[in-house]
Amino acid sequence: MALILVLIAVASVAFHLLSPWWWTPIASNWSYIDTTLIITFWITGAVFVVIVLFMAYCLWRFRHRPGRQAAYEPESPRLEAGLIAVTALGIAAMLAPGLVVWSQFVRTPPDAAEVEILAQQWRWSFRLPGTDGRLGAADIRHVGDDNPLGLDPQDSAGQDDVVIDGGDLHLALGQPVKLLMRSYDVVHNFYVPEFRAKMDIIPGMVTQLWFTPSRTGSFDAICNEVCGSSHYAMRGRVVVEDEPTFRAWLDRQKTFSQRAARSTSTREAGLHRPAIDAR
Amino acid sequence: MSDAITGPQGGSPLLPEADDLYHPHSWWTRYVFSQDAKVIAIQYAGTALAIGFVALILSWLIRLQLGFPGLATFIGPAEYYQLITMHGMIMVVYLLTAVFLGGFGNYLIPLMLGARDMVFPYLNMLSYWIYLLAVLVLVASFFAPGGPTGAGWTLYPPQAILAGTPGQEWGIVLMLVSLILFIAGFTMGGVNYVVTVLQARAPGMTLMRMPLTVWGIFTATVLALLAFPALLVGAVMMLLDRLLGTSFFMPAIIEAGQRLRYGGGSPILFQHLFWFFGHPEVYIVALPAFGIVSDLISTHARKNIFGYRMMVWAIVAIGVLSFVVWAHHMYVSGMNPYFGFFFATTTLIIAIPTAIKVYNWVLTLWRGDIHLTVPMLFAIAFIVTFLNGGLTGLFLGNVVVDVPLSDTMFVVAHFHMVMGVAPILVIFGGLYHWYPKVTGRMLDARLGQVHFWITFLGAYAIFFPMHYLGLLGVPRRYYETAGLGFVPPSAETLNAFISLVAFVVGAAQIVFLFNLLHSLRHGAPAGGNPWRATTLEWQTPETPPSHGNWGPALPIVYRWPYDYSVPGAPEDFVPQNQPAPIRAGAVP
Amino acid sequence: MSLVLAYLAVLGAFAARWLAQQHLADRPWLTVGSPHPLVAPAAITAPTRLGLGIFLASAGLLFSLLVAAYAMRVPGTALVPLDPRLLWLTTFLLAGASLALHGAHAAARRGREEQATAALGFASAAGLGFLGGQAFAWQALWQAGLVQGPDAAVAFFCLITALHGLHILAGLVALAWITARAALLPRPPRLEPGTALCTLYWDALLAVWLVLFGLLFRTPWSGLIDALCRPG
Repeated sequence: MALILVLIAVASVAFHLLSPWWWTPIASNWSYIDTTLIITFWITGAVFVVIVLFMAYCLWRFRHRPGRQAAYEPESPRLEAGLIAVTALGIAAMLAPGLVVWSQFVRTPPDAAEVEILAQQWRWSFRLPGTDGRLGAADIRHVGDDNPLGLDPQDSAGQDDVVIDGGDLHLALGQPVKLLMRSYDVVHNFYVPEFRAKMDIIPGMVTQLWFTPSRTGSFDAICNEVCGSSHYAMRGRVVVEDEPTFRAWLDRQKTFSQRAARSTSTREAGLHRPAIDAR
Repeated sequence: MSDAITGPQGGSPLLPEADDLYHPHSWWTRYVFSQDAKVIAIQYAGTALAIGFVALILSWLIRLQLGFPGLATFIGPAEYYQLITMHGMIMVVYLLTAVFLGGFGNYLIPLMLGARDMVFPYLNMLSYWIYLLAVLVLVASFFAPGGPTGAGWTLYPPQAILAGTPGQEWGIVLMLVSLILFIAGFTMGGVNYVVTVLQARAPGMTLMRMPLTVWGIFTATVLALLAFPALLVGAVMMLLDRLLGTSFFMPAIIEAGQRLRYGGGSPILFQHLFWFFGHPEVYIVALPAFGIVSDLISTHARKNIFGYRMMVWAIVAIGVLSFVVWAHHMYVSGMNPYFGFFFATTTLIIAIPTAIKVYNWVLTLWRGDIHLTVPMLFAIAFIVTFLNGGLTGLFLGNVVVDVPLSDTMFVVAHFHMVMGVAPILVIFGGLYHWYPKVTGRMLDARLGQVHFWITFLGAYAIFFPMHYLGLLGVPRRYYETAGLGFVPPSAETLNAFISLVAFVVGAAQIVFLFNLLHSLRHGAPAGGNPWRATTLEWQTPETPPSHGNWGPALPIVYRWPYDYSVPGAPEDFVPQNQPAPIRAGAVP
Repeated sequence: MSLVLAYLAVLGAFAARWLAQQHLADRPWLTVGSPHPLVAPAAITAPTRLGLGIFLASAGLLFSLLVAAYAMRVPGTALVPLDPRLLWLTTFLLAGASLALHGAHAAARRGREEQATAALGFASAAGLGFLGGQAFAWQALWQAGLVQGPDAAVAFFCLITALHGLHILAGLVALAWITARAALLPRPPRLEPGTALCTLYWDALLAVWLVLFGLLFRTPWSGLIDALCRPG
């Protein structure tokens, strides 16, 4: 048993060091999260190894042999107090950086660009502000075949909003973004592993999240809160590119008013756009 | 001095004479509708293990899909979500809670405290039958049209009751009804355990002379009585949303292009209610395990548990703190992010009393006389897996580290290690330890060793590497990860490996089952106290204990439960009811 | 949730007071023999009463969770479209039942079984009247089609009063059981323990009801309840 425990400690450490499964290369400003995680790994790893090895030693050293008698020592307040102090110190060493980073996490910088994400079973839609830099109001009452995000047709701020329904979301490198996330059916969660950050999307409210893309590339966005039988297939794509490419892409997208005009013309031509239904 | 007490009953109205007990009159009332806590304990444990086996088979199917996607054509996405939901719910509520409180609690509380039975035997019987009904309702959902619910064991609305989730027709309704029944049944049992601990202790059994097992089960029961109402409220409200169309949890919703009649409800409200129950639930399972493992280690290391007082205080502290940490399951739920500061702090503070317990178990081994019996092996394996799972809990409790890890395989690995594998190892250890008292025969030690090594090493090999999948970002509750760019092909290999180990570990439980049944008739006769233990349940006049436990006279308790290897004592253990003061320098 | 936490804190204070008397700082290995009197103290609560108390503590948490959920979900201005006079009537009936039980308990303690049985009958009738009144309210809301809609105030009213009503119903069954045994058995058991339990139970349910009533309707004490469960 003692030998096996040593093996477990050694094997766990070896696995940790040699494992090919490690986090994806980071693509946002949240390298602090990784740092906190590494601190936690070091502290907890050390505690694990020390305790398991100590246990292994005890099991070997104090194994039963004929005539052996155990010592009688009910407690040792000094030892216990010392252990409590050391533990509290270790806990503080993990908690303090964690809380510092969290305070950054919850404080969105004022210059963050707003991007809206609408999650529905089982697809992603996105909306970026147009030239006025503001997102228009939206509500579930306005949702229709030609207005899947439910933008308020009366709100002038929404007319130039870029609606991406079924395409990829593009973001500009180095520009902080604030995601405003809504859902019209169930709880979802927007997660891009490379960005580290994630947040649930709750129907009936707007949740938010901010980060700064720090690396160009194309990343998988997944739903990370169980949302029905096709939860696993609810995927999207986020493309991070440099500012000029991003601008060029944005200019190619249709605004809300353009889409509305087009769908009115198709309707007048007697054509029906099929209802949006992923199922 | 104790010798002054002549009558063991001590004249207390709460310690009934043997004649006052309910006595069974027929085979039915003796073995089926029995009011004897020991029989009820066996019924509880048997039912829980049976439904646990179902959940084990479900986990095989889950691993089949995850390890070898596409191989099992009968598992589609809908079936997959049904599998994980039922596996989770059965394991957490119907197996772990029921075995620890209904099984071990019923058997050990009266025996360890020197009581004749629970205080309210009739209520106790009712509690079991309602539990059985709850299990049957749950099982019925497998056969209902549409199958069981596939909402995930957390049952988050709105999806739990919408058509996009499997089992929306009957499954979710039966699940909620079953939970409500379970809670009703449990409340009867729980009131019983608490009153028994408070009032039916044998003369001399002060609180600080209670074995830690009783402390653990007692505190867990108090937690459960205060935590289950939250689940009850959530379940009733969701049931009304589903059946009557109220909107407690349901905001305005568009489903399949149709605007539903719901509006204004708050899905987060359910999450608060669920986790207000859900987090104490973790400790409802863990505290009895803590207690049992303390007794196993002390007995088999022939040494008193180190720092008994600190252990008791830690149990109480954990119990209190467990009510102010619930929202650490909701860091990324969209609740007010400033709650994160508070809940991360409370969560990491709760690690301190938990760490004390680990230190004290390990320090109990120090300078002990360690017999590596099968129960001891399980106890040590518990420390390793619990330590591992507890430490990864520090990742998830620390709010910002939780952000990338939440809802990934890291979480799955963490909670399986800490509240799946660890408590189940304790259940096994406890069964090997107390089986001789229950049946009068020992379980086969060689089969036990085989069972132990496969289970322990296998479970570790399943869940330790799984953390790294989570680190990679592999989400939980994914039917398949094919097509995700960040998941390398090697992760598939790891998944296949984990699945293969899981099949082996699952199969090893058949060895245990065989041992359990085989030893019933063919096990070596155990005698009254095969482990030479101090606590009262080993001092009964008969083994297995008869109805009423103690024959004509209740035991009197003279000492604490951990008098092992006392200097100067003739044996290396002194039973709690042994009067002569054996202690160098002790105050008589 | 502040109400729930306050409730838990009160329970915790009770538990702490009790634990403080249990010599938790003893070093049990030093005290062999009988450090504390072997015989339990004389003034000990009856197990049934203690059991009921623990159950009520658990049920009380159920209702405080409901109140907390109500405060989170329903805006302070929302009102249930019911005539408050009906609810005042049921409140008085419930209080009357509680008073009658106190009377029954006092009579039973002095051995006046006849008088006690009569008071029990009155309490049962008042309890039934309370349930009848509540049923009338539910029926009115149901017929208005309000229960099935997204109106949270109405849904909460029905949910909370229904759960409370179920507890009352259970109490009525217990009352009927005691009364029937006293009336029908040739050698009836003493009334006193049963009435004591029922009195405690009804007092608790009355207290719960007063909180719920103050939450769901405008009553003189509503301000206090709002302050407790809607801070800020």
